[in-house]
Amino acid sequence: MRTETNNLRQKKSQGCEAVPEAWLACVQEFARLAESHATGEDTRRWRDQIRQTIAAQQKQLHVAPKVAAPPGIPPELEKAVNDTLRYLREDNSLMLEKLQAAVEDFQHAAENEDRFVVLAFGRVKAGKSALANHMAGLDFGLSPGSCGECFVEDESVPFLKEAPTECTHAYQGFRLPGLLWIDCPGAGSTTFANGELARRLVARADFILFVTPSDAPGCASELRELYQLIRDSGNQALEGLFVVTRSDKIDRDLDPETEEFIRRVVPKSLEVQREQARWVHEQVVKGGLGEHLQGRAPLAVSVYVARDRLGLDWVTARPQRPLAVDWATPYEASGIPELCHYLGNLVCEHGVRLKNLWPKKRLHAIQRLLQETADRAGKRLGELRAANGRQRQLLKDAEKSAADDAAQLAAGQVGQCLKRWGTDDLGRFNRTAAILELQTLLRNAVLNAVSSTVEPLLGRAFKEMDAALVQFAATSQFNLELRQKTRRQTYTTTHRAASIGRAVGGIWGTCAGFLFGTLLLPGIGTFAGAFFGGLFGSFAGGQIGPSVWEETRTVEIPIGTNADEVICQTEQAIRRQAKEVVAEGFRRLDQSIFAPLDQELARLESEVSQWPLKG
Amino acid sequence: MWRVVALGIANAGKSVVLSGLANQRGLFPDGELPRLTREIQSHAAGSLLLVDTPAFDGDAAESDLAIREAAAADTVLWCHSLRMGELHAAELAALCGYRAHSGTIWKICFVLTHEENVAGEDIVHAVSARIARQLGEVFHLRFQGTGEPPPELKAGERRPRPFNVVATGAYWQALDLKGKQRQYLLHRSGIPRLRSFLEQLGQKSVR
Repeated sequence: MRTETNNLRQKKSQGCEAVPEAWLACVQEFARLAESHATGEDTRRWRDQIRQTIAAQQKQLHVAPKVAAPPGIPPELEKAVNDTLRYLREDNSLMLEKLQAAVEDFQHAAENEDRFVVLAFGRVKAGKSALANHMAGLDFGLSPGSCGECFVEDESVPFLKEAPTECTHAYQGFRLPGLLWIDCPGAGSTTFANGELARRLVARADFILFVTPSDAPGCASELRELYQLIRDSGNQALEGLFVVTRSDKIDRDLDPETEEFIRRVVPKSLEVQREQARWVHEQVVKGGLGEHLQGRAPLAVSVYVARDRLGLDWVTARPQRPLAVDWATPYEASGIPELCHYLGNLVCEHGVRLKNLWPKKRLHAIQRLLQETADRAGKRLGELRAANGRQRQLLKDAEKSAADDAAQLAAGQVGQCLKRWGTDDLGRFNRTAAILELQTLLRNAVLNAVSSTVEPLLGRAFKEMDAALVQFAATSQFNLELRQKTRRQTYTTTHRAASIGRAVGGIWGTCAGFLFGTLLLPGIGTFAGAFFGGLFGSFAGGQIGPSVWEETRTVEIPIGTNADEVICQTEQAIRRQAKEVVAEGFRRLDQSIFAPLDQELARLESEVSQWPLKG
Repeated sequence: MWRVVALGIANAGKSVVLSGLANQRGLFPDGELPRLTREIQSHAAGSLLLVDTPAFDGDAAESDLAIREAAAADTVLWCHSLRMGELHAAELAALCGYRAHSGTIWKICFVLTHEENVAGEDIVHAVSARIARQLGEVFHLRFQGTGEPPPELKAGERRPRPFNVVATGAYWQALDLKGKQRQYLLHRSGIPRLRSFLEQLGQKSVR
């Protein structure tokens, strides 16, 4: 038995030149409108302004964010700083990438300002390239000037490649006067580069055709990917239309004459097409893409049916048989004329509006992206500053407890230290040695107290504080005014009175005795009178004098030194100094590490706040 | 009974293949809309227990259900429509997940469906060759595309099963015909061959 008859290749005997004229007429009308309205001077000027603003922002962002982090940051904080900086740099790179993409998109828009840009997007093997070739008019055998000019990247090609497996990997499509049709790589592509390319192309479209195959229309995974793609491209206000492609089936009919099976392609029934359109619409709305449709119902098309009705091979589009005279009516069943008519009307009615909308949408998209990125970066920096602030607060809390501990520790050893250096004996007291030992005591007390509370928080930074504390403790001073202690004793004495009395009495007695002696018995009496008179006078004076005058005297009796006082004063002094030393150490630490870090982060926050585009 | 579970993305042709294996049209509901099968459905056909599953690229809960059912299968019919070209990213991811979960691929029988709706044999060959390469990258085994000679194997290397190309439309059409045309279409449909293969697998395991 012969194998089934496939369409055989035949010489082209008759070309089909009856392109749906309404379609061409519409796009040519758009070209005329585009020339006069769409891209007037104002639009061009505004588009160029946006491009310059974006270019200026690119220059600003070319400086990668950096933080001059002071040395000695605690390890956890240092890690947080490094992580945040890494994220900021990634965000910065992302923004530069997106800005460059935007610049290229505006360049693309400038190059196509007189063309309506339609993007055909859909899953792999949805039939996008076949649809593009057909819509370009390539299946109609027109002269080169009448059909679309196909391109892949910068090169012109006779047609876009169609293959049973994924074959669209580059920027490709076709151009007609007033129309740029971009054939997008497939959703669900296994190639990452294709996904990136699709995202870029979605950003450039004025209108999007969501192409979904009739074999599995409106699949959830496809719609999810589409939703994400539109979102990532920033072209959220994009309008579009769903097209259900490959809306056909291949029947095998038995030829009674040859008894062989002949394949023929027929469109799916209207009922099936309607059911699928309804299903797609439901899934689209459920998938969050309803706003893009603006109420437009999906259309069903089949390029295989269209080619078959034109007498062409379904796959290769090579002529198989002569074109029937009444080809137009069966051709309608392919859905292509309806699509052409729809697109033509769309271009005429909304082309200018959608075209003018594009720069604004693109600018809003890039502004939104930059704002989101700046907000995210600002939030991270805020969290980092808060972490730095918490660290400072921890240190503040630790400072008080360390100061108290240091004061307590130092004061507790003062008495022992001073007594060791002879505070009990003024003559033995070694002031210089005592001061040196007190300084050592202070230093050790402060270091012990601080290390137990602060070192776990600071890690490496503790060493710097350690050095500061040692320096301050070494220059501390203590008065140590040790004095002799005395006791005041007051007593009365008649010793001087008696002496004076005796002296006065003696003189008076001598004089009186002399006189009486001379009167009574001059010569011997004089001497005896003076002698005995003096004796008696001295005695009497010695007795009388104390009874007449008592002298009060006060004397200071030494009773040791003021060691206790000195110890007490020194204890107070060392407590005060310990707290001062600790406070100074913490102050220096904060000023050398945390305060500069906070300033750097504040500077970076200010830099990040400049990321969004102005205007 | 030999448990045969059909797995695949939406509209891969799982339900129609199982209906064909059971020789009862419409036994497992099928149609032009995706995700008609929302839960596990099973039916005994001779020595085979045929199990239909929801698409694994749709709802997450349905997807989990399908994968779990496949894990309990004696044979997994991994269905893929020739109209869709090569394996999609979701299918490759599911295959990797299946291999990680079950540790083996020898339970899988790859079924390429909708052959009757493909424009020509060369398309079948091109798609199956591409799929063979994709599977080779995933499983590091040499798969054979339709129309290709069997690959040369290294010593001790096991040959993966060839693809089963089925056309259930042709199968139902064949049942309405007689004589040579019936035989031809039955052969082209691939359903009797697949059924026989699965029954043999079941018998071997019993022995």
